[in-house]
Amino acid sequence: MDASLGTPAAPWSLVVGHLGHAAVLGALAAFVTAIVLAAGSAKRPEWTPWSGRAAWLGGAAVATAFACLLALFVRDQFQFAYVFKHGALDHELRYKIAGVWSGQQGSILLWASTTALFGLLALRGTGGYRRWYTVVFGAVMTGITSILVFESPFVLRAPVDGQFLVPTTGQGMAPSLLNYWVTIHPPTIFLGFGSLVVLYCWAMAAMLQRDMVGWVPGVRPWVLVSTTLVGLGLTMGGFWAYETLGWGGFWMWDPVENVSFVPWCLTAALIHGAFVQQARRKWFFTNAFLACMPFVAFVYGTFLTRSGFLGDTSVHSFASMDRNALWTLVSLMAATLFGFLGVWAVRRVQMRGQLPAPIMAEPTGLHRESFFAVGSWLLAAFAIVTAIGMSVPLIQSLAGQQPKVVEEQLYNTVLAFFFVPLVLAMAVGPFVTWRGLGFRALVVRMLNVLAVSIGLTGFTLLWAKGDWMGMTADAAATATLLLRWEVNQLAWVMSLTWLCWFGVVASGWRLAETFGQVKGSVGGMLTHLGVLTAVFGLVFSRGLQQKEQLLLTSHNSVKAFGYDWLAQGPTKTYADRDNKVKVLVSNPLARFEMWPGLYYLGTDEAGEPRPFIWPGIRNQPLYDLYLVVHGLTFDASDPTDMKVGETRLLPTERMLVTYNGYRTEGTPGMAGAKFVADVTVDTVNGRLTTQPAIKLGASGIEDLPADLGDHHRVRLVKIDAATKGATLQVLYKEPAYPVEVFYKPFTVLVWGGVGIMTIGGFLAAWGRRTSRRTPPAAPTTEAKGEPGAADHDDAPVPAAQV
Amino acid sequence: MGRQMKPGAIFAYVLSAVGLTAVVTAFLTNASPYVTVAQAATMSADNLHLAGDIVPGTVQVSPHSKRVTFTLKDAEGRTMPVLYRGAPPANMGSATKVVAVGGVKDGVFACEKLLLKCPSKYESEGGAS
Repeated sequence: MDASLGTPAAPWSLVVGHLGHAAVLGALAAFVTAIVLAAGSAKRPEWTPWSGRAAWLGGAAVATAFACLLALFVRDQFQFAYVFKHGALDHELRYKIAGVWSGQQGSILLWASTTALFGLLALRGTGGYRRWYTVVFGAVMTGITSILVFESPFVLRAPVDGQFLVPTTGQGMAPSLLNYWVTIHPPTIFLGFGSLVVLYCWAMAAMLQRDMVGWVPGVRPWVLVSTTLVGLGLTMGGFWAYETLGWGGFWMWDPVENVSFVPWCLTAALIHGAFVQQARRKWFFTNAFLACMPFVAFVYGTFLTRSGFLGDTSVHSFASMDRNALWTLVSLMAATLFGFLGVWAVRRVQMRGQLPAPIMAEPTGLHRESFFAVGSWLLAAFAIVTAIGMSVPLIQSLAGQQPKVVEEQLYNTVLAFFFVPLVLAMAVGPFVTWRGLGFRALVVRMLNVLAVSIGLTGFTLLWAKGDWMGMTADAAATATLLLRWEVNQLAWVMSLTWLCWFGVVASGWRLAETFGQVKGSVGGMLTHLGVLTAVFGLVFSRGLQQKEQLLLTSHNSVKAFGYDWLAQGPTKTYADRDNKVKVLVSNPLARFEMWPGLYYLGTDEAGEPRPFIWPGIRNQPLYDLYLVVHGLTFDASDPTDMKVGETRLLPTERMLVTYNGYRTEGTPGMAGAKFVADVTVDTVNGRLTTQPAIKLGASGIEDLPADLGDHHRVRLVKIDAATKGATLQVLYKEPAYPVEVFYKPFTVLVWGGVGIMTIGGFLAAWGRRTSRRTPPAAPTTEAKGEPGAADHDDAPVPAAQV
Repeated sequence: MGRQMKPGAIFAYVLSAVGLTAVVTAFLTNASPYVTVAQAATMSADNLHLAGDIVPGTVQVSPHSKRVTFTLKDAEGRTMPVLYRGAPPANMGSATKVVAVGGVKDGVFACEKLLLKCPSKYESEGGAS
């Protein structure tokens, strides 16, 4: 047997593979059993604990499958097709672990694992909803594990002579995936996706149980956890895209990103809807809708990105799915959507008149409930608009029309109509009370916020227009809004900047006012503050970003953005994946190094080298410097046609190049003939004369460039016998680096905002968790919504006071 | 007797319906079309998306004049020269496909934006469809 094909697979690995596959089948059987037992527990209550045990058994089986796949990756068992495709012997341990979810089958297994985890964690606290919760959860898990049966990561490669062989290495992950974010981002975002099942199952159980009141206090901490995890996951994806070239920066409204964004908007809307239900005994079915749709939207997004409907209308390539798995996914999507819509519509009619009467507080003027309503609808509108945008290729495809794609600019212009009122609602909403506030009183209350935000906007404008460190915003640049309306970009960005400052200051102000007074409000206000801060950073960083293209050499520094830039060469060989190009950046006040990555993946079909690059990023308090090296070059100029006696300026090299003609040695047209050009070059260091040549050799034309000082050569590209002219090119002796330098102001706000948002989200969830442990509230106290807040004007008006 | 809807609710529903229609119309009419080489040659818009493979050996990059030229082959096998003004997009050599955004001028697809069709975040190159 040919040893290069690999070594025989160890028996243990085959056992692990079979165990993983069996665990998937076992999980499927366990979840079906859980459905049957839970459904039957209405007549046989003794089945109730067994339904829970079956669900836990299913969860354990999914975890076993995950552990098996992990073991196969860590131990380099390339005889399995999935491990071979996504693993490689030279991958570090973290990339071997990340290989588990770097492909289609593994990411579905990760989804199954996180869904099982959250579904089971929430199961214990479902109380009276347990039976229907288990039925719905079991059905969802049955769908996901059924997909895994067809899209199994435990399939072996074809045997050779009846033996399963382990190849020496696998294909490995794509170079762009070999980044530390691949180890962090997918597990985080899939934890968020997994948590959506809790909201779906609980809302469905509430409707099936005909109890639309008691589920909201139980589900609230899970909603907060879902929103925080999905938000954290999608911003991690933004960080990854920021650090990976060609993925469009933080955000580009790609379907992969939208799949996360739509559920996040809907869960954020549900958070506010739950407040209204708790305080006013309203929105029972609206909240059930908002709880179910995030999961349905995620399943729809999964279908969209894996079905092939997007075709070429995305810059991402998507794996094609096994046909049976795809139909199972479609069935899951249809079942979760139509199952929910059917129950929702029927119960809405059946329960008319059976729901608790709303608490009619009769607030005056502007009141908190109206802002919660506006905010929730705007968030839902964000989700709907985004979902429509990402569905355009599908709509066009189903209509048999030419494929189209909604570009980033179009998303931005359309969503701006929702963004502006949403930020205003986020800023003003916390200042109005449940009892209501007159418009004049509201203006008086927010006057300080308004004044501070205008002042900060003024400072920001001065900073943007000033000549600090050589970076001035381009005052003449324009931005295109809807209907191709051209506006001054700086004015547009500054308008949005005021809006963001207004929101940030208002959130900070309200946070300071309520800190320690209203229990549970700190998390919410921190979340508002974090979201607005991150949005501010995105608006400013993208809106006023500047770019310069430079050619960096090791002998001649160039100026950009107030700094001198000088290349210092590679840190390793250009074949090494960890190779960086060291660049020295300095001005009179600062001196630092940047380390953009550059290595070569071999050559393409035409023999051209294939560079792979990573940006070098310098994070600073006021702005980021973002440096991209586009390979390397020896060309100091393009080939240039010159007549005898002609002089050309080469400004980048500070040279005047004069062509004085050429002479011929030997017989033209015969081997050994040589054409020698006479070139004079004036530099700041004086005049140099050099004589590049070309020679007709036995195997073709030989290039004989001539030295020009310490750093350059001159090359004679060709001659024109008729005019005596020549084509000349100046070369570097050491390679130079064509680079792009980006100046991105206030990017730090994006990172800071996300951090604040995450802390706020978990704080809010923790607060709701503890409040859930308090004894069930009587109707009047339940209406307070925020425990301990009755003496504060933030508190909802209890029914007894109305 | 059925419940009567409040005027505010009716207004909200009407507003939502109008808004939804406006959004769908805005997206469908302003979305950028994906075209083949043959279609691009007959259209005058400047937001055409031309997707295809780079014909090996045709890429010419000039860091000084900041332009990239190459020949693109679409799914129907037709080719068209493409001119991109700017530095070559990062990792152009490892892209499976490219999407040029622009329009045809004098037989050349001139673009200001060149997107690389890279493997999905969850899919290696080998498995990219």
